[in-house]
Amino acid sequence: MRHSLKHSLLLLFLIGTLLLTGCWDQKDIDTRGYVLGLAIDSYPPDPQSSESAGPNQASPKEEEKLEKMQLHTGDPAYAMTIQLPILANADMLEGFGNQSSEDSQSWEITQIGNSFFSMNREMASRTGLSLYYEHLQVLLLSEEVARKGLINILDMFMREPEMRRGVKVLICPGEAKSILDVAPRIDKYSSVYLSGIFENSNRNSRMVYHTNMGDVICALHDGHDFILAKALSTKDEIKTSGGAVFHNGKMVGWATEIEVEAINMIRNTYTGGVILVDAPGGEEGRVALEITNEKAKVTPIVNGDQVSFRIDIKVEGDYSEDINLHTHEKLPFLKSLEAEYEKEIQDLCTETIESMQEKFKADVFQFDRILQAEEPGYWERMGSEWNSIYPEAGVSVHADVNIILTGI
Amino acid sequence: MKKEKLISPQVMTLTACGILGIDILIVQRDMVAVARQDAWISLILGGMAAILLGSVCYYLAHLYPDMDLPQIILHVFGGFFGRMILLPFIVYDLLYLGMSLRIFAQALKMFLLSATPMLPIVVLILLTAGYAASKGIFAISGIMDIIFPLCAITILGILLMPMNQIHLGNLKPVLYKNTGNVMKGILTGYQQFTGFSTIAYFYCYTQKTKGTFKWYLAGLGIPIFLYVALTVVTIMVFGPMDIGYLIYPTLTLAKSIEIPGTFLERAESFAAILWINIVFVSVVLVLFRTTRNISEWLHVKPKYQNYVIWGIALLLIGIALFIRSGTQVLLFFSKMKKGNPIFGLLIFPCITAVAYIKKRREART
Repeated sequence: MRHSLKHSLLLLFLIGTLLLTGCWDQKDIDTRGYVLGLAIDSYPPDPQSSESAGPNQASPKEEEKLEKMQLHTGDPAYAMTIQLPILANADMLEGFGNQSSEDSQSWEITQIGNSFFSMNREMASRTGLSLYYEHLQVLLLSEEVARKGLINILDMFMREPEMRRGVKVLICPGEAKSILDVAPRIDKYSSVYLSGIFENSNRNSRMVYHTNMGDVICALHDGHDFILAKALSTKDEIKTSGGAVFHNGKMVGWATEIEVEAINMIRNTYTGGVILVDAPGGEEGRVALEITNEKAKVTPIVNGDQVSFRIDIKVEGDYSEDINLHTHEKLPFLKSLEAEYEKEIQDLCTETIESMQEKFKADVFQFDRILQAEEPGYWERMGSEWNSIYPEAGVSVHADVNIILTGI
Repeated sequence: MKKEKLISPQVMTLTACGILGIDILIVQRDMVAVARQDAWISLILGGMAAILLGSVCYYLAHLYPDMDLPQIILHVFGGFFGRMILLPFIVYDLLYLGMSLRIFAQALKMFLLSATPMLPIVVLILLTAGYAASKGIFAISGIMDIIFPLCAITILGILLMPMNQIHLGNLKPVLYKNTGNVMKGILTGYQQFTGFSTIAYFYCYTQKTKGTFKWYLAGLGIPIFLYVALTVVTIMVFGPMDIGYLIYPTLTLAKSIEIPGTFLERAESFAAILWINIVFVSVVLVLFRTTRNISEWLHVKPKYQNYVIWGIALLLIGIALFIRSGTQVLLFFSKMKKGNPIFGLLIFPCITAVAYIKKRREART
């Protein structure tokens, strides 16, 4: 009798465990609002970039009534836009609804305020969905916002457990929201489309691959300068190449595509790309080298209070395209071609370093990090003056290129 | 009479599970706060100290192979003094269990179950742990045999997956004007491995073979290796500065895992297997230890020992939920662990010394 009571109690506990676990957090999948992209613009917006209303849309003035919120303190400073997928219009449900191919696949909601967490919560008064950030793909910031500095913006993104460190952070020269408005031709959602572009980083070295939230947070905490990817868009297309240069946590300018290529090389974030040189020996034509492997070693050279850096870059690649030179794949020609590539890489890196030193005074190569690790004594003495030392620091670049395959 | 015996490999799993605990979520933060980028060196040295003191503990258990720790203490020091010595063990284990349950509940709430109150989380884990503890050491050991490989594989997964994000430079400079902090960190490192004393509670149930001590050392070595590796990888991924901002670095490390494409976007969910299981095994073992201490302290007969378990469970709910602020809980847990070296460095060697003298006298008479 006592035994059966014990067993019944145990059974009750087990059933209770099954029924109660996660009960409070139970949420149906269709009631979640999966935020795919998030854009932050400054407010009030630049008058030139104000949007125009579509045929069935509210006018910008009408929209602003909903977008503005009453603030506890301060004035509105930011406009935060999120992209939510409209699951009812997704292809997987075709046949169940009467949606047409022209139905919008996503909903972009903008909220104006001065705290991202409160803006996020305010959005709950405009949608029946519970906003969920675990699947956030991209965080887009307008140039204006980035120039004001990131440290004040990113706190919610560091603190909120739903946020992921792998979210891509990009800077847009104009309005960040415009990127979310893009209607891509293949993908359904602009955020997913943009995040997918980074999968090609092993084919194109002109995009900033290490542009994750985690990298930004680490750099901000450690006080290092860094570079973030740049995003440009048309109505139906997005491009990311080039980068935004950050010094002391604030954006100070733009790095060109080719400069990003050199920065990737020096920082060992180069995962693949193409270098083009004119044919050696004054011959006509150009030859493309697909870089398959790249490794840079930065060595600080300390001499009293002076510091300089030696950068050794080892490159392996395949002879990928030959314009006007089909018969030249002989060994001496390949050797002279390797020398051309070495010169090209050295010039490219040297010019980029000079540009970053002179134009922006931004240590995007994170030489300070290398000094802290390799020359701690020097860093202890001179670290506080790094901002004035860096622009004057001498850098020598040495490249060693090996052509591995010739393609034919 | 204890007829059924634990085999030597089970000594390894029980010892390893006794060391792994809620600390696995915060070990890197505690260590980096003291020794910065050299935290891993302190942890290795702390681990070596734990192996040394663990050997003392093993020797103590070996002196009285048919008794567990509370029985040995009462036998060696007598009823009154023995109970006085047992009291700090009981208080420490109760506080450690309560805080472990609380940190587990608040981490679970933060990362997975945001709307679930902490009470049912604490109650449910106590129900399962209490049930396991009530079935005795052999049932506990069987559970550990299943859970331990699962935990070890998950930790290895968390260690290997972020390899594409590591920066070797984050570990440098090594020992540059930091030797003092590294020395201070040895104590903090040692505090992470104090579960080594669990051997004194189950040695009496173990088959004594030549290899038992080696299995015990393996049981000590595995968690030390895993904690050191976890600290090294976390420093290489985040850097010592960033770790200072992270509340649960191990969970953040798991969250930073990136698998190309949109496949398995939330790979860190697998880490839940790790910490839910680790906290469970830790709670079961500490609960078993506390039950044995209290039972001997109150002179409870073995057939009534289960009432002690459920009584402790009720008390633990109160301890776990007593402090309201999560930050205060973490601070209290860190401070509380600082008291732990008193057991390892002072009480255990003293008990062993007195037990050795008494044993020799017993042998003469």
